[in-house]
Amino acid sequence: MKLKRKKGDTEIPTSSMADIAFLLIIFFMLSTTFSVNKGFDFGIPPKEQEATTESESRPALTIIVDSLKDPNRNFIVKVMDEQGNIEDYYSESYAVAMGQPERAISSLSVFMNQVFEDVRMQQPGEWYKLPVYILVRREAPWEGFVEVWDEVQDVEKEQINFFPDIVEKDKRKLATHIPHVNTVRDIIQQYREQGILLD
Amino acid sequence: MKVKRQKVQEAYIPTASMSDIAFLLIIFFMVSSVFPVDKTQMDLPGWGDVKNYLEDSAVLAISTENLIYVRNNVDRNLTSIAGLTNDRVIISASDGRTLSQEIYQHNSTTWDMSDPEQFQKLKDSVNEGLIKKVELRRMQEGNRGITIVVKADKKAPFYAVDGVIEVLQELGGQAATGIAILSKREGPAPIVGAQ
Repeated sequence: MKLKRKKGDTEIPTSSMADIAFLLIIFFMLSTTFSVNKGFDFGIPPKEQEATTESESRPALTIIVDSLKDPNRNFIVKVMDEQGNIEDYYSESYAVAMGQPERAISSLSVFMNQVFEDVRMQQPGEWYKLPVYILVRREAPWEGFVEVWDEVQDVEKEQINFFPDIVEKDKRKLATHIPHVNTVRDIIQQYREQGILLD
Repeated sequence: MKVKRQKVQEAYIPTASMSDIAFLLIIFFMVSSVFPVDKTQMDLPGWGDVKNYLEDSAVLAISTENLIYVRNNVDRNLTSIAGLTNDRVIISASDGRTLSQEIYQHNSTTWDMSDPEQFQKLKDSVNEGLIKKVELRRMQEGNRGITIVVKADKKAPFYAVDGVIEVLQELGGQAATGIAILSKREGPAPIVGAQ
């Protein structure tokens, strides 16, 4: 007797293929980041960083970033204008907590603009030569420096000298403004004697 | 005469091409997705006028072990809380294509960049772990400019970031086109053209 073999339908089930594919799509859609890195430029200055011996004891605007000894690692900024007036500023959250929002770091550029404005009134033509020093305590939070640098950028790019030697894009332009290293040491010594810097 | 009822045609939606469409979409998302190379948790400092950098920039991340992160329930951002003061500074790096790896760590209390030996050690680590890889990548990609982004937590100590930047400035000249500091946007939008 001849057995009749039943012919089965040979078909690959593809109806679930789309479901699998859509699951994959959802995974890749969720894991895709279209966001980019956000930040600001910190230029690489040329290698020669020889300080020139100009401007020995010229008046300067000095900003000292210090760390507060609290668990939240807030920072304090002391600004000394060319006449020796000292103003204190605090990190945003600390100033608010202290009930002195006008002492928040975001007000620093207002004060600095005022200083430059005054110097310009007194010495027309010379105002742009007022150097700005930024001294940062070793242990101060990184945020403190970034916030101050941000404020300083708001004021005037050409007026900035830097200590310790961090960055400025156009070092050539600045070279004539950077005082001798000893002068900066003297300034620090002076601040220590006046009790602004702690050690 | 008996009218023969017309055969009812079966209604169906053609789904055979559905998977093709889906795979096209998959390929699009696979190609366009960039996985972040550095997964270090960070609470970045704020900056008024931020610039955008490519997601595949080389990354140098600086963190300390004493930082604890809390996720804000409102905007899902991380907030860092500093814990103990004496701890390790950890530096990890990535050339932008591979996941970041730890390249250097040092005790925070004895960190001193004025010590030439220590400075040289950090310099060598950064050179091996980052600069050489960036140079290689640059060669492979036809001299395309690569930015090195420095990713430092806002509560990280200044000396650590300062030391790393100093090293980068000495080393990065040929390999990288620039150094950028990562930050988050803060404050009102800058007024364009205002003086």
